[in-house]
Amino acid sequence: MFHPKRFCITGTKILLLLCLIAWGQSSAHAAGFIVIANKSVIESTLTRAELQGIYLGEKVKWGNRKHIKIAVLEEERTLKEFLQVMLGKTPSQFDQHWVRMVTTGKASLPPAFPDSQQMIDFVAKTPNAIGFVAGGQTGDSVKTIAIK
Amino acid sequence: MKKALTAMMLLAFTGSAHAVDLAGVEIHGFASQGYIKTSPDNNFPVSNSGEGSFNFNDFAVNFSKEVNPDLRVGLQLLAMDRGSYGKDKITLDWAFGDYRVTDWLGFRAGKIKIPLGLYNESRDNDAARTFIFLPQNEYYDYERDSVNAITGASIYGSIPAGSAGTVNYQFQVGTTPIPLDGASARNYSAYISTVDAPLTTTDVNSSTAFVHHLEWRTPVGVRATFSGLHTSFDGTATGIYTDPVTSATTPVTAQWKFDSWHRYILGVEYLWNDLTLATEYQRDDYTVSADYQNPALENFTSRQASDGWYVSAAYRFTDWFELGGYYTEIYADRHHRNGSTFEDLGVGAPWQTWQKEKVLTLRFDPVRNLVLKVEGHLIDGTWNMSEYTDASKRNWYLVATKATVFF
Repeated sequence: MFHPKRFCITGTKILLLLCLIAWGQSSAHAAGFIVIANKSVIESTLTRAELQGIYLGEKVKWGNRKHIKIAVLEEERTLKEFLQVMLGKTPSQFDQHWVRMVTTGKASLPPAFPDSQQMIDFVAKTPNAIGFVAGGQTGDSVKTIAIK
Repeated sequence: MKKALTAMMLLAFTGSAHAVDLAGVEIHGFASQGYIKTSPDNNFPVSNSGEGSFNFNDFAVNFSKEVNPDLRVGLQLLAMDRGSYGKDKITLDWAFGDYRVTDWLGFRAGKIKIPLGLYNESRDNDAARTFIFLPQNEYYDYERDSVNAITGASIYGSIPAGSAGTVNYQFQVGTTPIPLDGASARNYSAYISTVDAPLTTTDVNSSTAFVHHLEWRTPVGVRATFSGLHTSFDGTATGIYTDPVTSATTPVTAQWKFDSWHRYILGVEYLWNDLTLATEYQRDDYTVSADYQNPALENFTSRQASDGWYVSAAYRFTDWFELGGYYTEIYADRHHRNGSTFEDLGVGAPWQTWQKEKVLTLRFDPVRNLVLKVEGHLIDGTWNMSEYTDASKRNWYLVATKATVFF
C-alpha cells in the first residue's frame, strides 16, 4: 500500500544519494582529467554534448570552420574516467566505435599517446587539436577547455 | 590479386599494432577465420556446415587518405568464404570520396556502406561486435552482398539537439550491386525454382535504390535508429525442367522480378557501464513474380510481407571477457505467423515459414587487436535456410568459433 511518509523518507534518501554521487563525480572530474586544446582554438568552453560529438567523430569543425584534430590518452585511469564521465562509454565500447568508424571509411583513427606529457606536446604543436590529460598536468603550452 | 592482399596485410601487421601510415595513406584491416558446425542436415549459412567447416572467414584491408582537412578518399578490399559463395574472391567492399562541408552537411560519392539498422555498416568486421552472427532477420548473411553498399551518392550530417543529444542523418541514392555469383542471386533463384525445375540466375538488373537513415544519440546512453531501403530488381534465370511422370527434360528460361521492395528497420541500443542492450524490428514488403517460358510451369505473382525482431544483451565482465546473448524471431508472412500460408510460400510445412533462435556468445580479448569467440544457437524453423533440403530438420543447432586479428 502507498504510504506518503515512507515515500518522503525514501525520496529524501534517494536525493541524498544522488547528491553524493553527483558530488563524487564532480570531484573526480575536477581531479581526474582536464580537457586541453591548441592555442589556435577559439573556443574556451564546450558542452558535454559537443565534447561527445567531437570524440565520436560527429562534430568535426570548430566555430571558425577549422577541422578538429582529436587525440586520445591511453593512460588507463584517466582514459576510463574521461570516457565514462564525458561519453558514457567504457574503453571497450569506445574502441569498438572507432573500429566501426575506420572499417567503414568514415574517419581516421585518432592518434593515441601513452602519457600526459606526450599528449600535451602533440596538442601544443598541432593546430586545432583537442585532447585530455590527467588533472594538474597542463602547463602553458596549451589552453584549457571548460566543460559546461 | 590474393597474394597482393596478403602482402599488404602482412605489411600492415608488421608496421604497428594500431594502423599503418604510408605517405599519408592510413591502412587498416582485419583477418577473421572461423569454424562452424550445424545439425547434419541443416547447412547454414555455410553450405557444408552440417559436416563441420572451415569455409568460414572474412579478410579485409582498407586504405584512406585525407586529401585536405575537408576531403577524404578511401577504399576497402574484402574477401570472404561461406562454402558455396564468397569463396575468398576479392571484392571492392566500399570506395568513396567524402567532402564534409560542415558538421551538419557532408557529401559522399562512390560505393558507400548502407546504414541499415544499428549495425549494417560495420557488419563485416567481427571485432566490432559481441556476436559472431548478428540476428539473421536484420543482418541476413545471404543478403550481405546486396545490402552491403550502394553505388551512388549520399548526403549526411550531424545536427545538435541541445539537451536531447544529437541527430545524425544519411540519405543515399544509387544502385545496389548484386553479383551473379553471390549469395543474393542464389537466394533469388531459390525463390523462383520449383522441385522439378531448379534454376540459376544468369542476369540481374537493379533499379534505382533509395536509403534513409536517422540516428538519435541521447546523452544518457540510448541510441535509436530508423532506416529504410526502397528498391526493385529483376533478372533472368535458366535451368532444366524434368517432367515428374515421363522424366522428359526441357529447357526453362524465366524472367523474374522483385518489385517495390520496401524495408524498414527500427532499432534501439542502450549502454549502461559494461552492459549493452539492443533491440530491432524489421519488416519487408515486396512483390515477387516469375514468367516461365515453358508451358509446364505456371507463372506467378505474389505479394510478400515478412518481419522479425530481436532482443540482445551483452555484459563485459573484465577487459578480456564479455558474455552476450539474444533471442530472435523471423516470419515469412507476418499476417500468418502460425505458418498457415506455407503452401502459398512454396514450402512444405508451417515451421518452414519461421525461424526462432536462442543465442549465447562468449567473447575473449586476450591481447589487444585479437578477438576470440565461441557461439551457440538453438533454432526452431528453417525460413532463412536458403540451402534447404527435404532432410532438413525443424529443430537444429549451430555452433561457431572465430578468431579475428584487426589493426
